[in-house]
Amino acid sequence: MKLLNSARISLYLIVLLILVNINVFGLPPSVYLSEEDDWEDHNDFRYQEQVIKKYENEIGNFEWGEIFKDLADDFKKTNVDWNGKLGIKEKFQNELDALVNDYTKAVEKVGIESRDSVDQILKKFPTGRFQANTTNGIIYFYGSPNEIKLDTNEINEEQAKDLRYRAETVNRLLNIFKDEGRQMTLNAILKAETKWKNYLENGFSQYPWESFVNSYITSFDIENPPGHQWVIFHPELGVEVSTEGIKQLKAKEVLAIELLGWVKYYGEDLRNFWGISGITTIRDDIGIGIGGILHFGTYFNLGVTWHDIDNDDNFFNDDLFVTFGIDLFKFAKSTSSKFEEKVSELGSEKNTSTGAK
Amino acid sequence: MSKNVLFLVHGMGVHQEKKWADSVIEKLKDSSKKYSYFKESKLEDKVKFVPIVYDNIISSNVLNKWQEDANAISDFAKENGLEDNDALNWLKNAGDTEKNFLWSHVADVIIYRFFPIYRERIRIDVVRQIAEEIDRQISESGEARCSVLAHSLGTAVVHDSLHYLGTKEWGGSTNVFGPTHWRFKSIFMIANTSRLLQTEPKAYNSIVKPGPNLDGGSYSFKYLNFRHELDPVPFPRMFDPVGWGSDYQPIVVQHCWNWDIHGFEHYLDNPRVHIPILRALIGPLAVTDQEEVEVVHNYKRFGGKLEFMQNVRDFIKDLEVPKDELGEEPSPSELIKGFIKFYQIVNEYK
Repeated sequence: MKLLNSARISLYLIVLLILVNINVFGLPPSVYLSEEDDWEDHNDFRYQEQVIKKYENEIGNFEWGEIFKDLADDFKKTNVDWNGKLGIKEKFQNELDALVNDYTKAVEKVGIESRDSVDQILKKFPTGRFQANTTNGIIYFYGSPNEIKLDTNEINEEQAKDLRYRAETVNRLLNIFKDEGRQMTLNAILKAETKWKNYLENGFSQYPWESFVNSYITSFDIENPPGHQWVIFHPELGVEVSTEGIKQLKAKEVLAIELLGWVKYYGEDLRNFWGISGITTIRDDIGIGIGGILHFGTYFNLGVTWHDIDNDDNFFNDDLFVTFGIDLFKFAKSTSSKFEEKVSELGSEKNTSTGAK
Repeated sequence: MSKNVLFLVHGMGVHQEKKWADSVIEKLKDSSKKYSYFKESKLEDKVKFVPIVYDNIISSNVLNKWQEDANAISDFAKENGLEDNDALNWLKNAGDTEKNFLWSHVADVIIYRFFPIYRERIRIDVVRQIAEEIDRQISESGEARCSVLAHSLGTAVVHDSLHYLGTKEWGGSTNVFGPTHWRFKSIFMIANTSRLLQTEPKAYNSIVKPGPNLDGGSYSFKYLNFRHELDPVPFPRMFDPVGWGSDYQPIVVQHCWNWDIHGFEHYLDNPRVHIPILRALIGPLAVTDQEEVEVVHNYKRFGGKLEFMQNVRDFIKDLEVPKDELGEEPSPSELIKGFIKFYQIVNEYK
């Protein structure tokens, strides 16, 4: 008898364990899961595409107040049986009502509900309310007093579906409401990137020490690069042409060092720049020269320099030289071959140019 | 319904094209295959991987440019017999990436931390890449469910970029990418340097932290921070916030399966790292509790290339040296020296 009782108890325990296992390890319906996408019936009247279709005219006419109110009222009349879980239903209703109230107040403050006022409305109307936290199941209104977790122990499948359809639909509608604002934000980001690209990649090149100094003496932020830059001890290759006379025009490659200069960026998205620098040129035949150079746009720069050719310690009583500076990196990248041809052409006189005067 | 989007953000080193992330994606895919959920649904069917690239700005636009300028000037100076023609020699291999740790790794950190104009250029580039993808997701499927997985220097870069993405009034208009309008699902930081390299905003004061819907001071639902006990990179000015609630989870790992214990893939290989990531991305059923216990239990501290190496203990001991030298508050030069020493040790043992 004792043995029989033990066997009976064991049998009960096994059945109980099987039932518990089914409950614990069996998968809940996909509506409760965060990343399953096969729970929706696309013909359900609560499904987002159906709702968007229903409010097509209101969306077109920018009558969002009507839409939000209608959605809140519709949930009040839901066919799903919420008996026994009215607290959860109430939480969801609270959030829908809060959406209507927040929107109404924002429109009242702005004074007009129109497409043109969407940016003003968005300033006063937070739209992230219905974004679900799906990092650990599905949680709506995370962290608020109305927080709802889709949990098989709390609500049944129909109730879970009711909440999920409606929450995702409202979230989708809010994203449509924000469309224009999103485009404005994205365009501003793209514009800011273009400006930075023009300043650093298409502008006047900077050596490490210049980048470092410009980093700390110019003002800028992520949206607005500096409108100018300082040029500090900036070596570059250039070409000096003597101006003694048209017939004796001679050119020679020089190492030009811009000692101190300033570059100003202008135009749409800082596309263009001009600048001015004090310059010294170094060449092996007539020593150093001093002068100034103007920058025009990306590639070529034009300046004048003087050399103390007669060694009388006076640079300015000799003929001046016209100097073409070349922003090396840009030039090498785009037209390096042309540059080489040009220099070799000019260089044909190189050997005879010693004593350019 | 949209796929989950996972932005992948690289650390220091050469990562000039999106394919840098191939090995990281493979590691995540391989790791997922250990769990029954992914036998039916592949990770790549559930998650869209979006690699972010910012190293092209440092390598192509900064270092290569410096190298080209320096080469041209030096060559000219030499040809013409000018004095001090080697003055720019220190820049002459700036753009070389092969076996050039100083310029390919250390320069990334220096440029990001100490050259604010390039820092902003990198940030706006990252902001643009992320904003474009969020916009694409919303335009195509009506919503965007995005998370970020960043490594090393990338944690600092993405921290700063996300803060600006969410707080700036771009073009003077309301920022609909801001946290009261939209937020990230999860932020995963591996070998977090966002506090070490912080400028403005400070790492603890930014919006890059977890929080509830409509909270303007937080930008994600979850924040997971992974650190290897021996990795010296996230050690100084360690990211260790207090009072961030249960949605912030610090996870410390100790495994040694490869000499480069700082490596992105080396971190992801550990189930203590990839399980929380998979769960936060896909949901709690991605890995069952039973599977977790089993896989974590079977994952040895020493494995892979290091399983039978006799000198692993020496390796671990040696790694303590740069960590100790760095200390809590290293100066910039100590920081650079520490990083170099770490890679020297790794290379010695490789």
